[in-house]
Amino acid sequence: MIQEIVAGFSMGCIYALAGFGFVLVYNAVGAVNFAHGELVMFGGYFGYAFSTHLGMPLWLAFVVTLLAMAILGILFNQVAYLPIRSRPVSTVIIASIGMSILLRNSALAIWGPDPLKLNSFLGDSVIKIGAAVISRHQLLIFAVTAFVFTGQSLFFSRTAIGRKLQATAQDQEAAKLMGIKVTRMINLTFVLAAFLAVIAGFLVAPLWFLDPEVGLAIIVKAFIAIIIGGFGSIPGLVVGGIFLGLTEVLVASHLTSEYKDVISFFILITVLMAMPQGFFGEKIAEKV
Amino acid sequence: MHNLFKNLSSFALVLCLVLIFAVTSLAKIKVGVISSQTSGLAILGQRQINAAILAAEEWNEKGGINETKIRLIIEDSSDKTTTAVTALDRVLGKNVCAILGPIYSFQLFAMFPEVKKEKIPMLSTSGTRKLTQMDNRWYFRTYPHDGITKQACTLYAVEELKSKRPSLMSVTTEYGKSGYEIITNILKAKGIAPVAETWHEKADKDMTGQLMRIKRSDPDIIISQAHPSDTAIVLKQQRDLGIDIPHMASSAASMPSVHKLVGEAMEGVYVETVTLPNFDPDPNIRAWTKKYIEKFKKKPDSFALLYYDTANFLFEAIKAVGPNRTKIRDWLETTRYKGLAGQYRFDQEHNGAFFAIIVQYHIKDGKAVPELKKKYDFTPK
Repeated sequence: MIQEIVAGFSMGCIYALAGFGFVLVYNAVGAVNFAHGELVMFGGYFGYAFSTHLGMPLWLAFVVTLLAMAILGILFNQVAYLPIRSRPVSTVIIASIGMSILLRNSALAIWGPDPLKLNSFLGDSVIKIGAAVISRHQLLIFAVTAFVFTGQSLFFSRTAIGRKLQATAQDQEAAKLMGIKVTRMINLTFVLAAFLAVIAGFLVAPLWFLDPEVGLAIIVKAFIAIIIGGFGSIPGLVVGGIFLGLTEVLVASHLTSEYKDVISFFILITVLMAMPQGFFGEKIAEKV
Repeated sequence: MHNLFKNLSSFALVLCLVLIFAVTSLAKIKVGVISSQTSGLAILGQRQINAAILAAEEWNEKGGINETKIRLIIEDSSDKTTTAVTALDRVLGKNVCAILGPIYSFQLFAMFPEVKKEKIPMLSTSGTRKLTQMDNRWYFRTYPHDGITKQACTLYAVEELKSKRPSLMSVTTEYGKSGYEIITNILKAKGIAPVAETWHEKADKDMTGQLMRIKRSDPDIIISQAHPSDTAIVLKQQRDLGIDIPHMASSAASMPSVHKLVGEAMEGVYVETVTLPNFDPDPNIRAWTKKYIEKFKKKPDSFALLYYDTANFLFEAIKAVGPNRTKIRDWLETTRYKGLAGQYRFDQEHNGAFFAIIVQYHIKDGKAVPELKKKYDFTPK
């Protein structure tokens, strides 16, 4: 059982990390960015390209990937959000789906269909703790998740830039009147989301491998975690992710692997019927 | 007068272009190629298209088929049945005489009604057993079906590795379900029941639940059937979780791209496959592999080699009877063909290949190197 719990937690942390950029953009500008999974995928692919093709050490590849993804985040904002932000929500959603298809097919054209593996910062080795086997990479996932979610809380509450971002998220007009450069803040939000995508990409790629479909796979799971946790809620995202990860692994191990997803989705629907707002959020109907 | 001259000139120009187009079109033997060029399924599809291109180019370098060049009409079937059927429509619209089809059975099933209606020979390297049990005289399989490969891997597990407590891991696609049925039937005939049976989705990224279920049942072997990405995840996680029993993996585990993902965990893994183009000592296969790598900058897999044989088999048929659909079908039904990978001869159901091999991989200098363990030949007498 310990083994399954470790794996479930690890998957849950991945869902939460992948969903964080999505929630950040949603909270800041109200945009539902379905291309965030592809940004996670590109974070992993850039890391692979810099470390494997250009021979950079992994830490340097990570730094360069952050820079590359910052540019991609700004481009994304300038192309797929800023010009249409005053249009209906459905237009923004469709633009993000369009970007998702564009990024997926770009990845296929650049890196091909073969799955690729990005190495972990801590290698492939495992540690035995009692009956459980934990890979060093899983420990890294736990540590990074704790760091990112604690760090974001401090960033948004204790730093001037974090407070400006919060002000922009709450009321763009009021923020503008207070002298905050709203467009710059929106750009920064997309850059931060891209940074989170890089972190998620570097943690996902050694386990899930990189292929042009991995972004879609991850955003579907992250989206479920977001809904279970409460749309827009950061603590809810973490709890929702871990809940989903644990459910999947425990159902596959102890109930049925064939109908694992059916049962997981059934549990999701049951949770939403009992708590329409998710664990921590507002009613879903009010958001979509 | 000037206008009349101008109009006539324009008309003549258009007519010339139409005639040139018509002549160049007519002067080629058109063969359709439908395979996945996009989506995650392109991992197999692109190599197959490459193999068909290689075969056609070789024929064209020698002057084509009976002095007529081959023109491949290539369409993408992506990862959906709808895309595959649209690809078929496009290819049929170009008036092809035969089609090299996709590997994925769910796409082939969707295409079959139109293939039968249009009476067009279609050849492909899919393994799903049921494909040739659907009374479709226009479909020809040039890859050993699951009944062959799954028989080989199950027999090897039971007879050579002396397994008494096998466990099964299967993907929920048609391929996995068909293979599961065959394996369990063979085990049943041997008086053996699997101690654990697990299923996973093709897109699943974590198999801890399934592997822990297997671990608790204390099996003496895992027999898995999966596609490339999930095969890599299963093999890697089995090693990570310390489940130290033999693993008999399906043919995806013979792909070089999978070896890169699995790394050291390929050590000791048994794989059922058909050929090993990157390790075969046969000089002809070695030369072909070298040529393939030089042209496409990628290593071929067994599916690509058999697709190359398939394309050549089809071109031989066209050479013998011309680009006539019915004659091509009849010729294929009655003719043996010796390809690079082996002998092909279609049975009543249109299964054309009956050979399989079991290999075991070992890590040497960081690379997965196969060791041939046993050859199986189930060719009907």
